[in-house]
Amino acid sequence: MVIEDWGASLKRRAVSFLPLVSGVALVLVTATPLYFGHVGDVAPRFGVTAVIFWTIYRPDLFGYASAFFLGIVADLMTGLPLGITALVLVMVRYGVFTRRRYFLRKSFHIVWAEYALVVIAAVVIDWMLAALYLWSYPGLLVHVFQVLLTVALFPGVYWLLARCQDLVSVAGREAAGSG
Amino acid sequence: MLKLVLLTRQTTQRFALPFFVVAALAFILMSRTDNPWVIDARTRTLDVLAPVIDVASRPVSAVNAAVDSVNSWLAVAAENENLRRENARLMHWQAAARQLLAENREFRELLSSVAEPRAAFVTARIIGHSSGTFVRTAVLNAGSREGVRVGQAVVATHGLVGRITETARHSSRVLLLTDLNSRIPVVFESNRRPAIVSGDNSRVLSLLFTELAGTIDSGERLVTSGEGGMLPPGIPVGIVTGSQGGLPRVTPFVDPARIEHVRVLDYTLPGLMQTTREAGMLEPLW
Repeated sequence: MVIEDWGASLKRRAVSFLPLVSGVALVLVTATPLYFGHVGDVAPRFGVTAVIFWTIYRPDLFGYASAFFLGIVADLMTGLPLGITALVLVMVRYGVFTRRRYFLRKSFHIVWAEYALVVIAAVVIDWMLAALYLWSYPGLLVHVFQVLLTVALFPGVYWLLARCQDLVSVAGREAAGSG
Repeated sequence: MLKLVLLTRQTTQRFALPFFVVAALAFILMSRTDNPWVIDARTRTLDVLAPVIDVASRPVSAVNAAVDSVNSWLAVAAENENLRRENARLMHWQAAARQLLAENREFRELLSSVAEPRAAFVTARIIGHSSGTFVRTAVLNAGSREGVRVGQAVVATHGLVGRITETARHSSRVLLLTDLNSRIPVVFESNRRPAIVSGDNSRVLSLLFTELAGTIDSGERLVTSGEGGMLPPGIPVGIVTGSQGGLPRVTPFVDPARIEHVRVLDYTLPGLMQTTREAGMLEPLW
């Protein structure tokens, strides 16, 4: 019985890292951008998607530290100045967390529309940071495509993250039941 | 005890946001000043993440390849006609090149000219790109263990891709020609006048420090000058396709998003730089 409890607790602890691990996996997938003719290569902002999803549904397992770490991984992987994506994701986490109750009460379509607004805000912050860092006006076309791609792929990514959330919930219930 | 735990948790939550914002800003500042710790962290992480990126990039590469394949099927008739015309033109150029090669060899022998050192190379796969507004880089699955070093030229079939800026043991990062920090010494192919091509994070390049700014025609080809000794001379870089604000704009010959494999050249001038490898090339690289 004690061993069963210990096993369930260990499983719950391991699964509690799933939000961060799923976020890192999504960031790694975007290492190779999709090619769009004259626009060039565009990578969706799945890091933002992960932060939004987990902040709405499991903020207890995805705090500011997780958002920061995810941003650092993205920066290290893409060769961006370290801290840029981390700053954007921490700000996204703050923005979504303050409106969490609103998100929770809404249907998927409304969440999708609100998600689009958050992605636009994140990309605008990113663009402003780029302008300050480089002291020039970077082109906007890639950003527009980035927003469109990230928003268009949201249902698929949402489905994947929802399956991860199911795993987290089941592990939590098992641990509570055995305790 | 419970009160203390709750108080600690509340305090942590209250200060988490400002703490991580300040931490991110500190990291940005360290990156801006090229802090060695940041460079070291980046290199080490690249080595750890490279195999994962390699695997993760394959589905996206497959999607890109599938889209390419559909596009090429749709344009197959027009493409065929273009290739026929190009083939006829190239046959003419091949004859001219053979004649010039023989003539050139003869002149070199007459002048006892010193031959250009030949470059050895490492072939690598591009496993990742950065496509944001900050940087234009690519990650290769070959690093210092395979002989890749900082500063080496990266080329594809049609010309220069960029230069190596970071090397880990099994991976390396290429600064693409289009990156804001890229500066490549070039010459005009027609008159050998020198210039510098510079990226600005867009898809085209700017031409700097050229005496000919106002008189450059579209269609002028640019190749590396070899100045500085790190890049071999004569690698095709791009073609002048217009101007903006009085400055010529150059379209690179290679679009890194469209290629999967590249060659990293180990080129060293004898006596000027320390030679790390025996030159092994017998055929021209491009």
